[in-house]
Amino acid sequence: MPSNISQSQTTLDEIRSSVYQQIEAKADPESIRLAVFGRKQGTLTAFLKSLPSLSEEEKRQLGPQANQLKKELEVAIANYEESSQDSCPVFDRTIPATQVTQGSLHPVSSMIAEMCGIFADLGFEVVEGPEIVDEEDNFESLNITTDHPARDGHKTIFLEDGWLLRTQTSSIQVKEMQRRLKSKQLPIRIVAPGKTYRRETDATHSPMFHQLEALLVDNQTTLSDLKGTMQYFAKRLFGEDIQTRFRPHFFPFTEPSAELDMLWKDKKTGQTRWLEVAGCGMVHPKVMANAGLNPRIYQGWAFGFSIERPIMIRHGISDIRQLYANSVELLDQFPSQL
Amino acid sequence: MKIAYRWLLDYVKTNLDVNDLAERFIFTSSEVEGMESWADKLPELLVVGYVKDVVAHPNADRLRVATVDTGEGKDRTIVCGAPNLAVGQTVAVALPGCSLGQGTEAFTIAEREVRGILSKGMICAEAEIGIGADASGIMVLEHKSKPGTRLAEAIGLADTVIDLEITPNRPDLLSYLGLAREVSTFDRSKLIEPNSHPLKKGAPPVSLDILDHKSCRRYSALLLENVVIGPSPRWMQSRLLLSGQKPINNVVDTLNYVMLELGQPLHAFDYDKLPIGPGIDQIPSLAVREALAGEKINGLDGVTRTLFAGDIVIVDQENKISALAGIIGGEESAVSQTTTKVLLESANFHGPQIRRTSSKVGLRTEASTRFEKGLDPEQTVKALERVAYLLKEQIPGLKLSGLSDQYSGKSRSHSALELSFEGIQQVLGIHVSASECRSILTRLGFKYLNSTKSGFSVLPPSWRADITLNEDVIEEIVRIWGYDRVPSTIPAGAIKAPKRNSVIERKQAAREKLARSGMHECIHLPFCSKAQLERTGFSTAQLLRLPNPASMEAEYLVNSHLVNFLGNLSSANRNQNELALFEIGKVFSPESTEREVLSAIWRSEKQPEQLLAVVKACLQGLGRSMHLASEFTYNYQEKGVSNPALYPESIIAITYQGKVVGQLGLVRNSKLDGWKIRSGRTCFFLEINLESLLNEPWHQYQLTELLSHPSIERDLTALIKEDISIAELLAKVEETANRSILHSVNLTTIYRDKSLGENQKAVTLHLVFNGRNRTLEETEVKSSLEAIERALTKLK
Repeated sequence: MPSNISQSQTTLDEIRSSVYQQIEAKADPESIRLAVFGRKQGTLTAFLKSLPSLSEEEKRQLGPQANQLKKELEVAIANYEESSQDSCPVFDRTIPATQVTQGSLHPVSSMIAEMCGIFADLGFEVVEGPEIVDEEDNFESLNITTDHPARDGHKTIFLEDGWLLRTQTSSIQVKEMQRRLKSKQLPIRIVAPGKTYRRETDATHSPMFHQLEALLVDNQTTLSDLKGTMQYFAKRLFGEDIQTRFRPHFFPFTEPSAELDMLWKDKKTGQTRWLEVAGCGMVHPKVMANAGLNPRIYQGWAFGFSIERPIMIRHGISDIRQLYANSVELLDQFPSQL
Repeated sequence: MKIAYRWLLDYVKTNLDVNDLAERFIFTSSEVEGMESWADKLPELLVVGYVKDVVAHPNADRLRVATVDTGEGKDRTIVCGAPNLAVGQTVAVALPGCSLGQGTEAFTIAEREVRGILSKGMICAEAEIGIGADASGIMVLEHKSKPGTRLAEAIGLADTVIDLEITPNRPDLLSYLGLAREVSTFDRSKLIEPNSHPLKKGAPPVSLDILDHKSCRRYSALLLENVVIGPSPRWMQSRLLLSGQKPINNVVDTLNYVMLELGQPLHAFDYDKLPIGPGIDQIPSLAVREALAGEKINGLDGVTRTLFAGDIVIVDQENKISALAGIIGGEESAVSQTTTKVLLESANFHGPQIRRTSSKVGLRTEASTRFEKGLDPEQTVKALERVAYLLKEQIPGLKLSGLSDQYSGKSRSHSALELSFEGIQQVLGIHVSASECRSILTRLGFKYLNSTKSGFSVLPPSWRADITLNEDVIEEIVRIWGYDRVPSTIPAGAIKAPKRNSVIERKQAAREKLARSGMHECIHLPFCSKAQLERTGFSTAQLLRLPNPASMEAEYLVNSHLVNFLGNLSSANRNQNELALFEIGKVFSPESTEREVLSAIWRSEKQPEQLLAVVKACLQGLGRSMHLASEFTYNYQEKGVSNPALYPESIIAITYQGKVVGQLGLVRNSKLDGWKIRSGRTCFFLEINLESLLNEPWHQYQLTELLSHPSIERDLTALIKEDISIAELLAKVEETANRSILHSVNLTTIYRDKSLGENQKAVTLHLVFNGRNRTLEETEVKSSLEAIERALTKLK
């Protein structure tokens, strides 16, 4: 008898909605409970009591529904009871953030850490070298002889007694190769980040700047490997879409030599410009020989990557000097991944 | 090197347009630093005019009225005051609307009445157009050009200049011919050598004495007679302008022109001003020798320079210096308007010495920038032959009277290089075919001596002193073959796990820890001035000084970051009153050269005690973060630390395992005053010497067992004497407490009030007790607390 069933279902729905209405009206939880589950007047109790008198078909359908409703209402009333005793404290949810001082890493040290991480994936060890070196380390050992015109481009900052502030991180090359040859740590895969100094200052040059030197020495490695590694590195830093160009250049300590440019897009003006980011090449046989490595047995390549240029490209910083003024206003903008 | 595109086409037949050409240069030899279109530099309304008629101005004695055809179908009437104006001249006319001059001298031509006659334009002098110094009269073109033609076009200035960055190994590219050779190689187009007038050795015009053949490998000289000094042809002047040279006169311009063409610097002496030698041949004698220290030369630029021992000079019969070799000529023997005999010098000087001299006397010239890189001695006579050709065209009746040529360095020619294709592939990772190698190298001027299936041997051209190794030849091949065609590969071989560098990791860990504590990392330029040092209280005695600082602001290398930090607070961060900065980097001094330090500064409006608590919070856990075996500790008794910028009483020694490694203290007000730091004047400065710490063993912390039983927490307030420090109080607590159950003691508040009594303070501590492996009894805690309280009453 479907009409009987639907009538009973309506009764159940009414019981349910009456409970929710009372909760809404903030009625006393105990009286709600009594009205539904009371042994005598309880509406649901009455319904459950009437179940045995129903037909088999009605029992089969309505029995589980009534029991389900009982469980639902018990929980609903219990939750209501608890919340009526534990009311939410009053507060303004639109309150602004407290000024918490957040620290930051300098964009340069963040960049160095990121770069070294990429090279670690390729099996490169990180090393450091002194910032005050002699002409031997900075020039002579790298095949830049005393009267080489290439020295003019270095705008060296000299100290007394033949010392100078290194003009390039390549100054670590020969000593590292010698050390590793002596301690039989060949092949070599190292990166050397650090400060370098040149006497020049304008929007794109600071008298102190940073480079990351990479050096690989093995029995067999090629210019293709160098190009591939640099492009891999550039893509790890800037994503698959970064455009680079690899073009010839001259360095006395590499042969063949090249430079890598990246296409930089000014996000404000939309203009693009090629920016030189690294010098590189196959380690010059004379440099190999200076390190005591036989150029017939060993080959190598090296590059010096700018640290600042990629930062400037990434964050749209047009004046390198801003990086070393250390204004908190700037530093706060690049809190890095702490 | 600035090269004009159309001029370059004189020496190479290429179909590449200027932009393509520039791009090919970038990818094969030289970076392009800039491009400039000269057609746009001269205004469009500046055109060629033909003077058809000239009559006197009815109302002015000095003015005349010209009828000028400017190609518009209707002649223009132009009033002109130039004395050299004449009928039949081809002149430059600025039409109404044309803007001339620059900056404050800029003006626009308009039709205007000049003493009753309407003048419809202006006939211009060189100076007015900005292409020369001559303002004495109007510029007259030698060649007839169609009236109305743009002037830039008519005088050969409608060209585009490419500014190429020539690397120091390629002096041969500081010339049009050298660059044309590059084009002919990468474009496979024909190279065209310029015309020249062959010279034969004749009766030497000068007796030469080269005292040091290392200084001067070759000295060639040519005597020109019947010279008439005058302006050089307009086309030559225009070309010189395009390449950045100022036209002077026919002889000088031609020498500069040939230097640009062939890369060989040349010098002209006024032959009659050279004293005659003692020989019977009655010719002057010149000697090439090294200068003595203190000798002087009066340069043709009017400057007297004192020379250094070793500088190469050309001296005359009387041992007077006639020229500073390869850099600048002397004033006395310089060519003048009245010169009729010119002795041309085309020499090869020792590059390194020219470079030394040029940097010592502080003069870099077009000649010295070429010589210093080492030039081809083979080209000296060739350059004279080209000059002879060009000057003969300009000066009718010019007589070439004899060539002297001393060449001592011929034996030092190149040796052959033997390459294998396998060797090439081993360096490049690509295979370049035999025919491609041959095509590239022969176009570049290499001579093929031998060629087999597996390789070849070549002789580099005389102008390529930079080619001495196989790798040099390989670079030549690959740069022309195309760097862009080189594939990208990743180095073969198993990737070994790189050895970890604990020094670098430790520094980075410290950086991250301090940044997490709310501090900002800085990197300052490690330079400072004497004034800054003095302002901070440091003497200059213990500092490294730069002998030739770029500015006095950067005369010294810092021995402490404090100078940089105070500079920072007074400038970049002057508006930040609450601030914590740190830096990890090198500082410098004569005794240790360079040492790694960690420095920090805290700046606040707070009271010192409050700020110090913040400082200590920042440093809490630093040792652990750096993987050191223990934390840093504060030593308040240590007297061995000081810093002139800090109050001595404020200084706390920072120790690591009993050894002092640094200091922390309050910056003196007087120093802040000196730096004009007006607010946020509570400043703590910290310096930790990292040198020994960085090499400590890498300590890997192991887990200490977690507290599994409930803690009992108690607050305790003690009234103690003001002069008893919190450290002493805490020491007392630790000493008297039952150590087996006291887990931690922390300061909650310090309360000071007159009601507490004279020199008293109330200190509230928060104590946490825990039984570790058992549940604590309330009574144990009570008795321990009572013991502590009893002990503390003695501090009252």
